[in-house]
Amino acid sequence: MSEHTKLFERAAARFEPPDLPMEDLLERQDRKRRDRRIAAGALGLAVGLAAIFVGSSLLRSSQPAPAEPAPIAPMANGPLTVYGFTGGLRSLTLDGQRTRLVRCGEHCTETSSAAWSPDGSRVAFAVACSGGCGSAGDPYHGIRVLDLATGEDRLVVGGEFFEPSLDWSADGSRISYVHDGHIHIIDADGSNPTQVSTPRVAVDAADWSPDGTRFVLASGGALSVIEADGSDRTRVVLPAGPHALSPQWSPDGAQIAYRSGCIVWTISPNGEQRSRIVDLRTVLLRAACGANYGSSDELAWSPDGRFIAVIVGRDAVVMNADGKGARALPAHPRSSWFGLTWQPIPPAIQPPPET
Amino acid sequence: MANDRTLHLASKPPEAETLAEERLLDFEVFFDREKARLFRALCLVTRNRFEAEELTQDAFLSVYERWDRVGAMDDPSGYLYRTAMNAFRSWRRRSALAAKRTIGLMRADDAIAMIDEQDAVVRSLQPLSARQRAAVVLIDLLGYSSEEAGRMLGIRASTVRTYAERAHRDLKARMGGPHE
Repeated sequence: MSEHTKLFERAAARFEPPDLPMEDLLERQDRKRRDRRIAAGALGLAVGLAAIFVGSSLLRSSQPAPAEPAPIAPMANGPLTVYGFTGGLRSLTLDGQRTRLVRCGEHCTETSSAAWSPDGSRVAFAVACSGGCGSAGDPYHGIRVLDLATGEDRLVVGGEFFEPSLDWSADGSRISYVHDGHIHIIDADGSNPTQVSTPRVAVDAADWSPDGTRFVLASGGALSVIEADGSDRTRVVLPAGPHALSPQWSPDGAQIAYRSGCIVWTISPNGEQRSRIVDLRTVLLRAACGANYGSSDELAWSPDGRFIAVIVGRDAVVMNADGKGARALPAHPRSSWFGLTWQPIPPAIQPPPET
Repeated sequence: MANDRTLHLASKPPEAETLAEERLLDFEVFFDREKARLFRALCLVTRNRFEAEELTQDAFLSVYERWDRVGAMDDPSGYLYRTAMNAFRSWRRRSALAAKRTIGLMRADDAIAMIDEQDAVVRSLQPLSARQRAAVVLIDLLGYSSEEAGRMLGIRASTVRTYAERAHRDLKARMGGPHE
């Protein structure tokens, strides 16, 4: 044995070996086998997921891209359209000029909702007599669509609808309405009726988000946002306060305006930001805006998103989107309005009104 | 029938049981004889008792899983040390070790400083790289030729000799005497 070997053996002997029983070795073997199985499983899972991802990517790339919906040009603000008892639909300009838009004679006991299509070419409205009046059951009653260009006034869903909270899809191809506490969707000609599954609440009003993916609901004075496909993946209950009515998405989808008592609020769709924008009593001294007043469609954004209009009894109030500059429009002595909708018009026809 | 089948699967033929037992006994003898020596050699190479213990267990486990063949070799311990050195060189193991050190699963060996003070050989190995230490330990402690050590470490025999000569010069300087 060389001197180096002796030195190295002496050095090695300074390291006291641990107790290494055979059982530890066998346990280690079991542990390694288990780790290998887990690693193999994880690898298999990763390979499977990668295969699914690659497969779906190939599938997507082999399919033609879905046609984008034709963009709707930003619209300018036309006149307000107001409705209620016995008056049909009337246009109301911001300087107080009124013209009759739909005259339906003895049929129009009550117009309970109306909404303009996004391009302003058609207006959907609901004609009813749900209070047991003499015209109940009139074949004219139901949800109708008036085409301004052709003058065609067409019944798309027959029946009596009390505040159906009409709205259009962003591309103008479908109409949503609320009936018996549920949201229904039809094609603009009344075909393909479907019902959106909603949480176990009775829906009082619903407004379709501008991108078509969600609805904001009013139910029992509370607001919530749900998926428009009824998947109920997420439901955001908005901290809107009591007696929330008439929720309406802003045209850019960033805010929802609504009324609670005499206060008009805006809230972000995720509920994180809420702003009190105006107290209607500062504009209308005798505003009938208590908790027991109000309908599902008494608030509307201007098509360009710069203004908000609110119907309060006989009066209409128009304000900037932040609540500033609120003013009442001249009242009509013999009318009481249920609600309003703001007509979009092509921007070349008329410049946006200033309040 | 089901019971018959279960019994048949659960029990092994008597001769197979005897062979398996003999095989295990053989390995246990080998394990008891070599474990302290391998552990100590790996302590000199790694300068960390915890790492050396892990390497020792891994090397023995690898041998155990192949004991049918390794047990029949003329020099099973040569296979054991080669296995240990392969594991030591494994980039995969070194990556795992680095990760373990990062997250604190592999402890530093505080005792190594004390042993450094006590032993000039251990101290002389400190400035060498881990591979240089492995070459010197294989030659000077375990008695392998430079060719055998080179094969175990995946380097040329001449490189092993160079490492060993440098280590000897350093050791000589530290101990103040002739060490050839």
